[in-house]
Amino acid sequence: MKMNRLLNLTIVTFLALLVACGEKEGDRSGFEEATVVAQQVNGENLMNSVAELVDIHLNDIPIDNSECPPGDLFPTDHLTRNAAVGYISEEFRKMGYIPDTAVLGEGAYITYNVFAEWPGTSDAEEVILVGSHLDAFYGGADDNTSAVAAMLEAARIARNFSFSHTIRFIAFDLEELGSIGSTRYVEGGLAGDVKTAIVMDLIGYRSFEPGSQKSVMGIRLPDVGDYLMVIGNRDSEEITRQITDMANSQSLSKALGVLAPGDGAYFLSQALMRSDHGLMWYKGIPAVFFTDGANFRNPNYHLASDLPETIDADFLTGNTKVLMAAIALLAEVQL
Amino acid sequence: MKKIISSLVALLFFLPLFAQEKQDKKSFEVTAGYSMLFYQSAYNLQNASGIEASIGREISDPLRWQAGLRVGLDPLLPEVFGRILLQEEVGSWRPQIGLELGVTGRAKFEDGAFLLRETREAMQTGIDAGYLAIHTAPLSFRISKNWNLSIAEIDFGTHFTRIGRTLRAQVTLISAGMKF
Repeated sequence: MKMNRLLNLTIVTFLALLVACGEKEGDRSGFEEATVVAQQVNGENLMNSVAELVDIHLNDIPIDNSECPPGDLFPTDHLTRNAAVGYISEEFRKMGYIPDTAVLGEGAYITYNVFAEWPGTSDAEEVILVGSHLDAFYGGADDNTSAVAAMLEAARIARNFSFSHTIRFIAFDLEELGSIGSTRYVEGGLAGDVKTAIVMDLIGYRSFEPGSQKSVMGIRLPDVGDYLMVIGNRDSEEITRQITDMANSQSLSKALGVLAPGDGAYFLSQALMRSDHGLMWYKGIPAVFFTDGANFRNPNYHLASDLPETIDADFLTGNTKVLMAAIALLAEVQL
Repeated sequence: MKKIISSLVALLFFLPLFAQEKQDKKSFEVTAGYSMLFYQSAYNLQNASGIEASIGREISDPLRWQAGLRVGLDPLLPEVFGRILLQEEVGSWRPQIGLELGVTGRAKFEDGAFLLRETREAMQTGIDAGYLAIHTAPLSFRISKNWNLSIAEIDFGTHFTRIGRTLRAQVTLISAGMKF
């Protein structure tokens, strides 16, 4: 018991070093242009994508989970991905992209990372990666269909504009089993051209109830869970501050910036690297993580109740605007 | 467990009353001990127990050196270490503090559960074998002319590569030393 208390005290002390970076005003050049692009986000498109993809997950056959039996928070007997791979690929194709799939690994846990690129006009060799995972437990409306829908909407809008840098939209596979798809992608050297990454995992749930947002491993957060968390580390500190400032100052969505200490790849800050950006942080790739707080907020996390009716359409729309504005800013939109 | 620790602490405080003979500071001291190691990095937490043996000697008061070998009980994963220590003697109490540098076979964690296994593996590629740690022995006592006893020695350290990514906390529960 005393050891636990000592451990908790150590964790809290360490995490006290984390810096929330909500309202600091910095360089705002490019915000206006980015906001123009963001205003093209269509909430109806988003909710239609969520409904379709949830339906696809619910009717898909779960993957072989023999090596990873169900456990607390991980109902692996309800994990689907195969039909989502086809759906996302087809959506890219309908928009006019020529989608590709990075097939990595083998056996039951082979991974299919579906991606499409919008080439940059002047610095095409530098890539802004926009990622979200495609696998889901049960229907996975918030986790992670909300983020996949945002990525698809951003991919649709991007084609209306020119950008200096190439934008790569990628749906990573098998994140729920330990970021397998993104790990293989990074380890395989496929992220070598990535200048900055934006990774999203659950971005559609909010609550206005006091106490709805729990603290994350000792990090005390505003306890009304009505904001998007924009999480960065030392390598992505500046862009984390910029995106947070842009979200709030341009009234795109309510956002809270959180910075992990150093490169963030520590045992005590691992709660902040709990998605496909984790290995990117470890490897020094600047990456920003968007989330609504997952199980620290959403009571439907990894449950059969994670359904479209629990998604807040306005919140998802606002967060997608933040995503689109961030892409425009980082990829340098040319209006 | 509480009773054992209380008895041990009481023993450590009372035994020295019967050990007033001065020790030869220039002689070598061989020690052997039993330790617990808590070793962690992102997505990894590994506990192990092990035994260690070392030899040391005074360089010049209050500085001394120590060099040793530590092996785990299961798996073995040996470590060799060297220490530079500052030691103060107050009666029979001889607290020490210093720096430990070592090379460890524990630079790689076990594969562990399927969940996160590949990420854990990818996150170990940058960890090298060298580590450094702060060593403290706050409860070290001279108990006779030739024998010393120490409990709850604490080492807190990290690997050299990207300092802080790995954390090592080691508690040497008990260690006995003999001068010769």
